[in-house]
Amino acid sequence: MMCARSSEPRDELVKHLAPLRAFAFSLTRNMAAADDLVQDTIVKAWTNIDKFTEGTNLKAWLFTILRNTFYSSVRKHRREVADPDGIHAQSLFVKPDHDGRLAYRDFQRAFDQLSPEHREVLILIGASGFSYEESATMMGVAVGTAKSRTSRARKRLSELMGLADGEDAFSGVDQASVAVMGRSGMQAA
Amino acid sequence: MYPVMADSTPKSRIMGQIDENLKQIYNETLNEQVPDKLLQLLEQLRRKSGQAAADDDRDPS
Repeated sequence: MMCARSSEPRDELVKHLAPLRAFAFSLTRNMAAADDLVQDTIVKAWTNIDKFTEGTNLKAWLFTILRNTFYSSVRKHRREVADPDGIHAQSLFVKPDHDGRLAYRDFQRAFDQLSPEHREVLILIGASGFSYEESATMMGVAVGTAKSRTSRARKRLSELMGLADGEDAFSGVDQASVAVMGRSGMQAA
Repeated sequence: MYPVMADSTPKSRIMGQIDENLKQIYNETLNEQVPDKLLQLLEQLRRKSGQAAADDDRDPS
């Protein structure tokens, strides 16, 4: 009878369910879709566990399966763009609270507007604790590409929040909120 | 955590807050309880492969 080794990578999968869900949700922005994605990832990982090199980073291997599964399903069912004209995005201009802090809800709305590629790189590098090198390998790109994608994603996020990048962020906000107030002012008039 | 926060420019202060918010987005789901259906899936896979191994052992050929 075969005895399973205690360090069987399959036994480690359970530990990675929560990070996989968090990463999946940052790609899909829909919890049901995120759970389906994690489910597909787990089945693929389980059946292909012999392709995992023991001693390497299991979490990175799982994240790679998850993002590859996500992008191939996006390619397969080209979903229509929810907001092709960016009408919703226009209403996203927000300014920091009086103490200069970004409101979390507004931040989430801006994050939702990013492309999945931009959400991915920001979460991998900014939140899930992977290095540029690890993230680049997972995304199948050069480190330089991962770095420039990160800075474009941050710039886009700033734009979506009405914060001008590369100049005084608060004066950028003021211009944006003046523009928004101008629009709603016209409606009221 | 954010060494440049104290006397930072508005831009780097905003960037620090972006980082903080990104972590919050990720951590919110990370700290949620994993749904039972995912745990059950692992259990099913384990049973199935246990069954397959047992079948191999019994394989009379």
